[in-house]
Amino acid sequence: MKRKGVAMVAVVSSLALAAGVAMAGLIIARRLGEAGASLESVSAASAAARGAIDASLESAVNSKAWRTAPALPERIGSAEISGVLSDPADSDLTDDYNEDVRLTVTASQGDARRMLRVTLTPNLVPHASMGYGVCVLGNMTAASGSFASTGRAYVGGTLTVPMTPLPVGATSGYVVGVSTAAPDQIGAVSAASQAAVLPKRTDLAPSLISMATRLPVTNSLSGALLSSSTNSVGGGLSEMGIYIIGTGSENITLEKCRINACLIIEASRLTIGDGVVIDPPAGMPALIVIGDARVDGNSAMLSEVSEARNFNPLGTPYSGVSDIDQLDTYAAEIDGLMYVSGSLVVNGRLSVNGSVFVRSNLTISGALTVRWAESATGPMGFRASPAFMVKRGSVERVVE
Amino acid sequence: MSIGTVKRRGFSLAEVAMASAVLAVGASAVLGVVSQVGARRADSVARSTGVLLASDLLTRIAILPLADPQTGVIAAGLDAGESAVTDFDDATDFAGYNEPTIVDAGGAERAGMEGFTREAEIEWLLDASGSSVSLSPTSAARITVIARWRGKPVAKLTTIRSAAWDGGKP
Repeated sequence: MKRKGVAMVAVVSSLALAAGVAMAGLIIARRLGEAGASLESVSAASAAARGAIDASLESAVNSKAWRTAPALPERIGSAEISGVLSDPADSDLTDDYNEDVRLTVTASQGDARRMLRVTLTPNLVPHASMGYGVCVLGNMTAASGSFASTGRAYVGGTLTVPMTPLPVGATSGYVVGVSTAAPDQIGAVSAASQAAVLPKRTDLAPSLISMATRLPVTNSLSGALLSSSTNSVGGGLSEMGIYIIGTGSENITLEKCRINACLIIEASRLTIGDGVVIDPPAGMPALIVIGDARVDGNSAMLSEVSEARNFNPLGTPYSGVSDIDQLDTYAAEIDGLMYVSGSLVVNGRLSVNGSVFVRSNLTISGALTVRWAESATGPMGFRASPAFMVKRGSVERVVE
Repeated sequence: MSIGTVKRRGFSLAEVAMASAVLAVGASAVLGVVSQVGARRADSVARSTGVLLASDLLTRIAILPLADPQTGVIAAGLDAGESAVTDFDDATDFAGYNEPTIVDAGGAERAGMEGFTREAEIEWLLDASGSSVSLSPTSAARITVIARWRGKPVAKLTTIRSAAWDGGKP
């Protein structure tokens, strides 16, 4: 009997067909599942990358530390986050803190990766306190001294000024107006609508103190010339023009100096004597005192002859003028912002072309003259938050 | 007439039985796979739709400021005078938001979305690292949107919103 095996061929063929259909079905099912997961991963990575930009803005400080290593969350949801900063202008992130930075964030989830890039511009809008010529969070007493300011003064505590009726119930402090009658008088005093806020030492640490070059000075700085290109004291040059003295526990005297830089003094008490000229670079505060300060000097001029030093050599001009002689004299003034974290006593004469901020009390028994002018940008450390603004139209998706 | 040379043209009963059994097993396997593909397809469609719904809600929340535009205050939940989703004018209004039926930004129910729900959670961050959270509102919020299909989570998207963006946006 001949068996041709037709039935077996039919069965095997059917099985092969069924197996093929089953395999195809399984592959399709797997692909469908992967497609759904892939779409979720892409969407999750996209949302996380966008969130990482917000997180970077939240943590941004215009400091060396942040510019070198911006703080970002490790994860947003299930997406891993990483980010890098670059300088679109000159590839040097720390040579100029007024330059833009470019942030590239990457969010990864599963096989999906989303990269977003944004350009951040330093926020140069001045801190609200820069609207005052004088801002004192504590008490201000000028009963026996002379006080004149071309800008309004804010006093958070008790205000004692001669011949001026005070408003009742000024729970948020006082605003002392500018006199229109005479330059050595003050204007009307009114209740402040809201309490003023001044930065604390911890607020100034990232943007100013941590970037300062420390000078080997213990108790007295006299006859010195400091700028970003000149340092007669030793301790190295600060390219940004920020120098710091003291550890916070000693008394320091400052006299007969020209500081073409921002000077930070951490002392129990700083005494400012005669002949102190401070004219920092643009965008920098003039004098930051972490501690108390006292002005004993009487605005005697700084003299190159007396100090046997040229205070405006090449590279450190004064009002745009440099020379090689030692014949010049300079008005003892502070051009810019003077900040005192403790109390300030003006026993002698203090002339400031900018603002005076005192976190504790201001007592004037000598003469304080403040020539305030509104500025479009605040000095470093005294700018509004956030530290950076998003440059218009700069958010872009990066495709590798 | 010759005897002993009969040609057998059909299948034996055993062959037919064996083939039928094998075919039955194969057919049931194929039907099982087809059923599985159908279920997977439905899951996939639900998941994809859920992702789109979650993404849509997250985008709507994330474009809003963190602080209430009327008061300038960052506060969790609805502000005075707000009740419907059309009243929501800041991201924090969506804290604890639950949408039992899918509606669009205008509050109108979306057709064809039966079985889907979505909800939003807001956590307040103490710093940008996101590792520490606060019970009271801060200047940074972690926003999570979950879409569900027949009660089962099918999509979960998370982002961070900071008041610094509101102050720093162009």
